[in-house]
Amino acid sequence: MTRPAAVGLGIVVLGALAVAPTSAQSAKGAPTYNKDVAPILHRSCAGCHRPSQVAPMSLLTYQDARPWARAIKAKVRDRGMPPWFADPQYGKFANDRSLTPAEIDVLARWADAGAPQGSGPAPAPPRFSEAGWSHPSGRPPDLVIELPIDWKIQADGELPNFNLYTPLPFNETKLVAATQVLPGNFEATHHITTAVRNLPPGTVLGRGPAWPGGPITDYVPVPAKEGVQVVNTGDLAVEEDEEDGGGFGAYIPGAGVRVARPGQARTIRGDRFRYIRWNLHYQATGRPETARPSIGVWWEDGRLLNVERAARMGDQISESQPIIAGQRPRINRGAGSGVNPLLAPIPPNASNWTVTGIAAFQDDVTLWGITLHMHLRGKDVTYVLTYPDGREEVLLRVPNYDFNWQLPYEFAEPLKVPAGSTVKAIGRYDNSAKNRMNPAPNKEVYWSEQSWDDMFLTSVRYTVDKLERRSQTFTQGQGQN
Amino acid sequence: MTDRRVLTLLAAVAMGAPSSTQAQLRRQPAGAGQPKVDIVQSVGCAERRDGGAETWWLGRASDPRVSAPGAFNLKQVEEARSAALGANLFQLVGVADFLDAEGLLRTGRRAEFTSAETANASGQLQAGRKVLVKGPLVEVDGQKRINLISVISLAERCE
Repeated sequence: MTRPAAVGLGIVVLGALAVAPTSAQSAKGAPTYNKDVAPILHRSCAGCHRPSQVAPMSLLTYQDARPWARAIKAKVRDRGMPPWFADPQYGKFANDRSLTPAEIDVLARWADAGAPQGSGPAPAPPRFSEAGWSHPSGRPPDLVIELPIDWKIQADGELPNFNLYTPLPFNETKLVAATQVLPGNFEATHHITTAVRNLPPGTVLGRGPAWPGGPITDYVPVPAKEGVQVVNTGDLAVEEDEEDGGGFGAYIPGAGVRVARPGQARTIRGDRFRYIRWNLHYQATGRPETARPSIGVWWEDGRLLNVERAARMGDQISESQPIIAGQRPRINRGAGSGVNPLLAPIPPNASNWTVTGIAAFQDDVTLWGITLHMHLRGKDVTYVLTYPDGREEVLLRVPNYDFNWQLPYEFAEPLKVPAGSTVKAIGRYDNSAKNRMNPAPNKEVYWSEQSWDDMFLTSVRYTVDKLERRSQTFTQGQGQN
Repeated sequence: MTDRRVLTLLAAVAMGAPSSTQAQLRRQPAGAGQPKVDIVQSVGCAERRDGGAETWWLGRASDPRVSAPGAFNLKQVEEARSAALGANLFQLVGVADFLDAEGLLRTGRRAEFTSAETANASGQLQAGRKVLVKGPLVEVDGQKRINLISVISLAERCE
């Protein structure tokens, strides 16, 4: 099911379950909105359920929430909302928005009691930027980078994933404390990812098809004219460097602003990479749409203690076969795609296609969180830490991966890991008809950015302990905004 | 000469190949300087010794050669097939994914979320085989260990 279909169904269900706007009679001892319900909704729901966000209705105020009380009860009871997919047996996470049984009980009894508001003043809803920025401080971004064009989205049909490139507005290494991608059109946007990259070798930025056979547009890499010297090496350098140019994050349902921990920042390598690659995936809504996404950047504030990095899992085992680089050829299936040996390819109707990626730490590090990305065949993922003495610890298990909610997992407590440890990401794919998300069980599934193919991008975010600074200030140019 | 340089030089001699390119492949985070431990590769004989069913060793192992994270490539595997064995002994840890499914399920909490049908166990680590291994090399209480990130079986018999 596509995300709009899922959201649409949610609206229908919620609509059918909505509380009739009658006077709210409070049963004696029943929870009230002001005292009991608002803190839950504000903490776990308001990030999406507010105006101009992806959720179909706001739950910021009593007036907003009351008509939906019974629907809220139904959704939280079946754990459909808030979206959270980590198995509670393994690990604790700071961004866990799931509700406790006691909180679910409060919402259910509140609905059963007729959704009373209670006495006293209504609690103030959390503050959010009217422009849609979600930095916890309420502060607007220091720099906003907009896609320079309004992208036109057709009314019907399946739309491929594609890349546009725009120049990076700075040419030095920058430290960022927070980033956010706003889609410019929530309903028509499936997801947007950004990366700081160079153009593919032999190309220049020009005008051409957005994808093979796609509409003609600016901001695509086109072959350089004969005789024109092109000075770029593509992203070959990325292959040599554990941390590449970085990126400004992504827009995906359920993920808002990405904020580094206090004292931490991420690097954006403007010294090595010249462009922002916007990976755009839109979905038809039944009517023509336009979208102009933008990126918000909050600079590191001068109190840097350490730089956050990402360790990617190297591909090692696919369906019980060891991966040997070059053993199976990569097949180019269009810009930005190719057959990864890890998924080479997933056969039709395979219901448990399993891959394992492994990363090693060569220094003492502190782990802060986990990211993962699969597509529609993604079934489950487990992260296992192996200490140098051979002990294993399960860091995260996502038993029911959902392409529509690609959440990061931030450890509630950072994890100190000694040099010589490894982390394994074990992912399974279901290309059978039993997978209700599967658009084509009878087709082979290749590695590509298109949703009808699949990916296995897994990483752990960490800092290197020996690089931890103490009360050291760091200054950088702030003149780009 | 530092210990690290000695290690790299010895590894180069042992493998009969120049090591400079390999050494440069180490992917340390920018600004992180020399790593505390190296990722190495070695060819040897997979052995079980005392200490339990999942205690594995790499016996008659070649001198460790600094390697890069990620999968081996075809050239490295072909070179390893004809590489001479050595006199080192490394304990192997993190073996689960390189055993058979039964061995994997005996490890840690794997059986809680894995079955014999879904275990992604490569089966490359079997006693008596000549194997090429890769992983960070650590030393604990005088015993050198490799925490495995890759294992390739080179031959049924180790000679």
